[in-house]
Amino acid sequence: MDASVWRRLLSAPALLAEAAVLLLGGFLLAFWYAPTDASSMGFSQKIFYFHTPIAECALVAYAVAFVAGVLYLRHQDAKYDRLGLAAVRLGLVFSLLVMGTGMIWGKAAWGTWWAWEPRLTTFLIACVLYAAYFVVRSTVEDEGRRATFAAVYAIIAFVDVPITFFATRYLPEGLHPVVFTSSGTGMAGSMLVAFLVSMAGMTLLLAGLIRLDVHVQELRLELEEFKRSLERGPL
Amino acid sequence: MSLEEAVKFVAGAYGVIFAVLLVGYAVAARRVASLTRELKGLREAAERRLERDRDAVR
Amino acid sequence: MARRQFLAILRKDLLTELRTRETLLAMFLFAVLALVVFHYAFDPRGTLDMTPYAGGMLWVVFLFAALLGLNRSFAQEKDEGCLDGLLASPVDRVVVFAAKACANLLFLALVQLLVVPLFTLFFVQHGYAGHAGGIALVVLLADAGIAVLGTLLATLAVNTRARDLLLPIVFLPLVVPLLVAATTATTAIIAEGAGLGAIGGRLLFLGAYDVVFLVAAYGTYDYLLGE
Repeated sequence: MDASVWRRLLSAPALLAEAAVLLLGGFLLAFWYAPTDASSMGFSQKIFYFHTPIAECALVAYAVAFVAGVLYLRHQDAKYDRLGLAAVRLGLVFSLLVMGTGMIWGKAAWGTWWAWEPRLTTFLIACVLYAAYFVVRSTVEDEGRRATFAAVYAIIAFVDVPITFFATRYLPEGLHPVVFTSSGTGMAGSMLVAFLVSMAGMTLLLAGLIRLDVHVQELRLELEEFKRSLERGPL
Repeated sequence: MSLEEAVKFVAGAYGVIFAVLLVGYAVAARRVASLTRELKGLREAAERRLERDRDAVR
Repeated sequence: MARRQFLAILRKDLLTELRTRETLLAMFLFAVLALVVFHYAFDPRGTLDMTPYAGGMLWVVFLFAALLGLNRSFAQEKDEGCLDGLLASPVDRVVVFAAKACANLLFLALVQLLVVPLFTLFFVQHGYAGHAGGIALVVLLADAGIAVLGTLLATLAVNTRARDLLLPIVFLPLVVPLLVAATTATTAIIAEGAGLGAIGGRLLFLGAYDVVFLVAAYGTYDYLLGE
């Protein structure tokens, strides 16, 4: 396959379409193929099939922002800044979704809307952390400096996420750990299939949405440059 | 928790996911469409102005 | 050469502050007031034993006092153009970072030295002088993390429009893991007389945290200051 075919397959619309197919597949598999969880969670465990992929995709998005930050600092190319911005934006949206679905799952599984357990807490902190990313961006006027600061912040923030998870999970010993296991001793084969399909679909969805976001940014930029060149007067 | 209640929660969770992602996608798609339209409009306006200037010179 | 520059910048920061002492005074006063506020917020009738919450209260006070100090240390320099002068000179940016972080660390430690006895007087029912070594270790490691991360972020914040407002917003979420480790370790020592064995894991964590952000600062500080 030559380059143009790849490019078309990896474009935003294609990715989103592929994602939709996989997500639909995962959804069907989760409900009609995978067995209901044997543990006390019962039917509410089905939330897991989308909740966990979204969580992992949020982290992937933050990783992309980290890499974009590093690349920007090295090459000073604005396209990495745009990528970072898109990645953080989507990471934040996905993180909010993790919190929302996590809380719904918590209510269904343990009867309480909130628990200070490691995963929810870490994502809460991630939400605040990456929301601050936008605050940082809004306080710098110079474009080059804004991109630099955003890149540095994205790097620091991503480094902090695993540290935060580790801290909230292992340090407060003696506190009541509400163990949030996805299933008892590992997943049955059919559960794994449903999970993996959903995971693949979510990842493609993330990729597609990031590309879409970058595309919007580039269009806006082009529009502004065009307007500016018109103002500069006739040729 | 009874099955009916659990179903409501699960449906709620999936519904929220679907709604948020759909809204996000719709917003982005609309922006793409409107920006592309605006760009096209500006380009055509510029072309027309160019032709007008050329005619004026002649 | 780098060491001389480091010492020179450090000396300048320390002398500037020691001459006016305004930042140190502000930090100390703030800490004292915070303790008073805590008393009225959590135990107005003075009937509760606040010892289990000792670690938490102490570190909240330290964190916010540190924020105060960090803000002022950079704002002053930026306003008086010293920062630009410093950058114009052929000093390795990392040296600037190291010197500033050390200065911030020393200021924080000084304030803490004064605040801990006061805090013990107000809130802790029994003595724990025997465990002073353990506390000192926790404080040292946590202070290092606060100084490193704080200096890094203060440099970023002072170069934006929001300045004072931005620093707490970016600093607090990032410092949560440090806070968890420091407060649980401190409370364990004060309330339960825990020894090194019990808090060893947390000390290790604090050390690792310091190293991680030191590396991050080393890698990115040039870009933050570079122009």
